[in-house]
Amino acid sequence: MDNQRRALEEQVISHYLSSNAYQFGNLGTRRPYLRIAARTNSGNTYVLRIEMENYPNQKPDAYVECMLTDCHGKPMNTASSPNHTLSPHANGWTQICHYHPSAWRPDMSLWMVYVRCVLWLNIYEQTKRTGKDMEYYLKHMGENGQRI
Amino acid sequence: MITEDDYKKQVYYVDGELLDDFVKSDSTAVSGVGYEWENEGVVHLHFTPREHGFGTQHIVSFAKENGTHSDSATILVDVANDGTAKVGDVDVTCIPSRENLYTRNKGLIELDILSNKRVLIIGLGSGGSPIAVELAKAGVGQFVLVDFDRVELHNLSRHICSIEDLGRLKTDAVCDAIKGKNPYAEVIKLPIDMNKNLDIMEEEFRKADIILCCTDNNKSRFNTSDLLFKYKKVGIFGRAITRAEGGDVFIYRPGGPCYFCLLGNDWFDPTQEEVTNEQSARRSGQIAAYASQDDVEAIVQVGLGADIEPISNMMVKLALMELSRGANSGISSLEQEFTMNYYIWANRRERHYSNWGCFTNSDGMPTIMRWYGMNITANDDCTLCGNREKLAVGENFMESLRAMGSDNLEGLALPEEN
Repeated sequence: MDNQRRALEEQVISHYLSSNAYQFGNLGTRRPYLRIAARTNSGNTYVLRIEMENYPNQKPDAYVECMLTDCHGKPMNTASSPNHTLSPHANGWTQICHYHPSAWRPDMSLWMVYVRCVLWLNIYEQTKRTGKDMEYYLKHMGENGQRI
Repeated sequence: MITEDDYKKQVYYVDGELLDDFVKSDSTAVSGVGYEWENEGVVHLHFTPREHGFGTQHIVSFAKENGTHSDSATILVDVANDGTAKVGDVDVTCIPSRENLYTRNKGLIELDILSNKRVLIIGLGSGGSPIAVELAKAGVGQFVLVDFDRVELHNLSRHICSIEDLGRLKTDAVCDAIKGKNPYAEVIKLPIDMNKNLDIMEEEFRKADIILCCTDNNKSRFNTSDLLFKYKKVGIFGRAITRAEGGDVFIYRPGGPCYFCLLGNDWFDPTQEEVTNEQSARRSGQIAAYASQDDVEAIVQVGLGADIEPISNMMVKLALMELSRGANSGISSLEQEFTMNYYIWANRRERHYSNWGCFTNSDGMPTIMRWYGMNITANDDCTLCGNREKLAVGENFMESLRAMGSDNLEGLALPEEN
């Protein structure tokens, strides 16, 4: 990600969030990342880490900086279709499945990823309240970007 | 062992350029190697062992009129000062020199120009491998081959490589195929994943005259597009879509629309991809880590080699035209034909092309087995070649929910709008 792109990304994010709610890291390296706060409707705050290896040509990986547990109390540390999660971070953090890799395009933005992650977190909290799986609320995304 | 009588039954070939070198040298006799196609009456004579031999190997002695043959040799080649050679009474056929190898192409393409051109081919599957060989046949002199995969069983039905190549790196196998057509070609082999070695790729893009992107995933196409733009190089992208029911070819010319400009065009769907290999599709994420085997089998569907070849062939023609641009060769006439930058091909009236016209009665509709060209215009907002002043914001929460949410939204506290 070059400086111009980073500036554009920040321009969009800063439109919605204050500057102390996000932070770019490892800029100028092969693996820059964005740490960004996400607040759900119930008032809980999570820290998302969006890793941007080869960004924007490659779909960024989005992690919640903790290992979440599902509505059955099981750690969300595996690739799971019902949970819409992918393989966890090396630190054990839960990875959110946000866009299908084939549907990812370089003209998409970090903000678009963030929106999907916040939505996922809101639905995650709903599953904790109702005991229903994520899949009950979230459809899957096909390779063409359509829900299936 | 070839007996005295067998000498007369064989046909012999030797590299004419190397034979000339021997004639001009001070040596009067040297040893070499012969490779015999058993029971086919054919022997290829070499001054040095081939990297990969074939058939039965023989020790060969090449000797001038004043030279003495080696006692250990089983094939004795008498070399005359005029550059001809015989085994017993049988003339040895000289394989033409570099200048004369492709005389049949003369007039149609400029061999002098092509022999000095450097072509970078990324992806050596059923699309990239025939392109490499066709360009070698046309006389292109320098190749850089990029692919980290090996030849596997599932490749064989569509790949130029044969069953003997199973397990080999595709870069090695395709290199041999190139050398088989043009032994003078210089080939650099890079068995790497371009997406993980962009620093190496930068250097290769800088040196190449043209880049052919023949991969099966968007990530490498987007990276290729980035580097083409950065180094102002001509690049050709080709792909087959699901089950090779069709495909498309895009050519990037510096200053013109880039591959990213295709995104959002009604004719172009970046998500349509022929998935030919479970392993590579899992690596690229086309198949999710949690996909069941049934899902995988539904996703991995391949077309025939004959479905890919029109796309490869188009890329070869475009590449030769671009490499020969301005040379006033026979192929120059294509410069008036291939003025567009995006070409679509359909193999079958299925799925993506189900509403296309029948080949025999098109009723004004596009049909299968014909190329359709169009000019993609530059996108002012392109994140690569556009003005780069804004970025997509995309969905708000409600739109995102509509895109991702199921019908079971009762009781769900919807996220607030920003």
